[in-house]
Amino acid sequence: MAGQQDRLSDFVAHVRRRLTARRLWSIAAVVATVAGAALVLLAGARVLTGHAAEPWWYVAAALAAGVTTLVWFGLSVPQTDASAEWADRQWGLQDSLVSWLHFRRAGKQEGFYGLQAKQTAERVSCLDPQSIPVRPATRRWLTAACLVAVAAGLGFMKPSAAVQEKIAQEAFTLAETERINERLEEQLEELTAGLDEEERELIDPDQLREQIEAFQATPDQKQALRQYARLEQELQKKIAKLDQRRNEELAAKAAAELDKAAETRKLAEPLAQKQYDRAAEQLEQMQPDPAAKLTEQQKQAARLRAASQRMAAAAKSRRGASGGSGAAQAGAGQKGAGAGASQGGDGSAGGSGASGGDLGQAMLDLDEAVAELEDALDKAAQQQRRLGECDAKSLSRCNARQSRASAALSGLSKCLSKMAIKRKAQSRLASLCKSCSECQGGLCDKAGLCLSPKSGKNAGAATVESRREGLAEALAAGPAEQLSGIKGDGPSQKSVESADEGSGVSGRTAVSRERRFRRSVESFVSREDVPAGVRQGVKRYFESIHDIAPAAKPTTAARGESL
Amino acid sequence: MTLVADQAEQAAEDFVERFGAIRDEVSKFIVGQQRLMEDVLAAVVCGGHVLLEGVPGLGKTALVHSIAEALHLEFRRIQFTPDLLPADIVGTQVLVDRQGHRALEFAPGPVFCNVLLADEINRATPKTQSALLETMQERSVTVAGQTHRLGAPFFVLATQNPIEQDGTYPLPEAQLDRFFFKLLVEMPSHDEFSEILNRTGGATRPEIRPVAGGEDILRMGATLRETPIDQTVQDFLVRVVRATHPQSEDAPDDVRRFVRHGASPRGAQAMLAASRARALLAGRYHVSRDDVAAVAVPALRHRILLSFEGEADGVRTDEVVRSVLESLG
Repeated sequence: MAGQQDRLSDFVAHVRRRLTARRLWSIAAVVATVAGAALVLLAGARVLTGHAAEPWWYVAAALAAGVTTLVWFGLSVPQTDASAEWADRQWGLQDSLVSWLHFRRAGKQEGFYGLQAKQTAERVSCLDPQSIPVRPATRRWLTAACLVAVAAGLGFMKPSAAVQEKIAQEAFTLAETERINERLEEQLEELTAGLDEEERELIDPDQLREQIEAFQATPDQKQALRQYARLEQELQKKIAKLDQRRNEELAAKAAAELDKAAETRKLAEPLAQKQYDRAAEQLEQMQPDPAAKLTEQQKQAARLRAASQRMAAAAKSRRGASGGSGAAQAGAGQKGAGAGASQGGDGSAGGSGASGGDLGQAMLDLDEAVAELEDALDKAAQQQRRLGECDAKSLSRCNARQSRASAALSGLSKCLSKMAIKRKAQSRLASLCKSCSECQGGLCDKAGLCLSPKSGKNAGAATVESRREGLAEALAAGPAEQLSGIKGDGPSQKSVESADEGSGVSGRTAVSRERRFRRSVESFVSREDVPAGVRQGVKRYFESIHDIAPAAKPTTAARGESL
Repeated sequence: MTLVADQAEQAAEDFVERFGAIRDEVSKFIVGQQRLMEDVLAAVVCGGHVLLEGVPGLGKTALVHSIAEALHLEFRRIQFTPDLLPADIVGTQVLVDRQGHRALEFAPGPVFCNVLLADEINRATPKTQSALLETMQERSVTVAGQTHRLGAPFFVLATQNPIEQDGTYPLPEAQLDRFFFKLLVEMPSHDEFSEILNRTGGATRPEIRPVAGGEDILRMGATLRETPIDQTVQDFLVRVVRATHPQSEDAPDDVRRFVRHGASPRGAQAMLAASRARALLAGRYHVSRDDVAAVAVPALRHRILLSFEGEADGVRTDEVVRSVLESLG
């Protein structure tokens, strides 16, 4: 009896082992098939779109397949009852094993139960659990193997040339943006290190640093270009705020005036070379010495007077020029000049005035103060010649005038020093701006996308063709890009026209129209696509106009004489 | 009482041997119908009653006669007619004069036997049919407040004609439920036809000898009840019976559509006993699902009440039972 029970137990255990192995193989085959099919679909889709399959997909698929196999197998390991039931079905035992198993568990082994065990043992004695196939059907294995092989083959396929180019471009953009960001940070550090307090106020490097630190290395070229363009825009704005063109024009004019006399030529040189700090030093050196003799003071004052007169003339000339060009602008200029004198602050704000803002006012003030000083010194010298010495009143007046002249001189020096600082700041910002532009250019040139758009319709070939009929030929002849100017650069569209010095009939309207026309034509001829012959022809046309205009006057005069 | 292995083996061998002997004896006269014969004998050894349904002339009555002869049991036959009264079946009290003393005495009816052939049972009125209810279930008769026990074994073998419906009274459900099996008598094949003619057309008829008595039948029934059945197989049996009810969650669509009421627990009892008999006859010492499935149709076909839709569509209860078996796998 016990032998039968053991034999049956062994049989069921053997069947269970075989079924367990069979289940494991079966699950592995199914999981491999599914994983292979998924990989084939994914990798196939990628390859069809020109990309390469990602290597990590294969690693992930292998891991997922392994985990799924283990979990699935753990949840579906055949139990003893299921194994007995399977054997009953497989060999047509008509519930013999299941019944025996349950009878044995219930401890029923006597009578019919014993007979049942004996009969079942006899029936299974001729059965071999080893005959249970462990491996799943060959077709299933072949399917799984084929799918995995195809997926692996797809994994080795390289991306298409276009995709490779795109990937390379993205990698380049990423590396380049990293490099550019570092470079910009370094440049900003260098720029910041050399700044004094006033320059720091003007440039505000902290704001620039925040903006640069916010930049991210990105493979997206457009995004990279956008962020650098924003920085460049910011720098341009700062540069525009530091604009002191009018002061510089005034300084240049003053330099020209000073250059006319030998005694003031020394001061003219740094002004002409825009070395305003050196000019300020020169001016400081020209200050009369109150401790010197009266005659010496007179000489010094005369020298200073010569310089201040010329500078004042330049300032007046500048003011006069702007005063004749338009009431509104002139008013603004005077107001600005007044404000500039009192505030001595932002040169550009006040500098929009016609006289050159605070610089012009300082020149006028200096001239006035030096004139008074000279007058006081002359009177004191006359008194000394007349009485042998100066009285206290004269000396006091001389001292007062001396102080005022010194203050005016100091104001002018300050103006020049500030101009020098602004110029330096402008130069620094311009170098940073240039570097930013170079970065953008570098991104575009190497990536090659900015220069040659490869897709899309040509300009003018829009969907509504009827509207473009008249333009088709013209557009085909010229470049398709829309030309756009750079802000702050080139001829201003809102410049203030000023008449020449002296009296005469104003020809502003005609001059303005001619200039506008000239600008538009120059803008046209400056286009690269305009043939050189046409360009020269236009130039000659305007030169001939200018040649004719002076020649026309005598003709009119002759006509008047004849009349 | 639990048998030891040797006794069990001996009892099982006796069962199979005796069963085979009865079958062989009956087969001397009955040609073919092997499955029918085995089912009737299985019902007999299980102590159940059988309703045989078939057109006239197929040998229903002859089969019952043959079984009764082979079993060496007291056999009675009642020809059911519309004017038959319950007292004609179970018996009645009659006035008896015994030495000047008159008294009512119970005169037993024809049910007091071992094998009762209720021929054309559906021709009697429901009242008369109902007279068999107590007899078939309790194996007793109560007349004038006095209960009289029937002899053991006792079983009813009833016949009915499915095509001649005029003047008949369909058996009530309660009556049908008391039949262990409802067996359909099929038309014999060509060879069987010839053999029938050969056996019955001559001058002599085959002689059937009794090969088993009442004690043997009772012993066979006891052996049956010892045959083990696994709990999972029994669960399958219960699910089959429950699935014949349209309210059951296991019920297939056919049951939900065409069945008004399913089989009773008495049907499950009949299936269990018949499955055991079939297992022993197959040489097995345990009941399998195949045994349960094999006896499901004869045990359940008369216990399923079709709905109006089922009746209108001409659905047969055999198909319903088969769909249940298919649905439960």
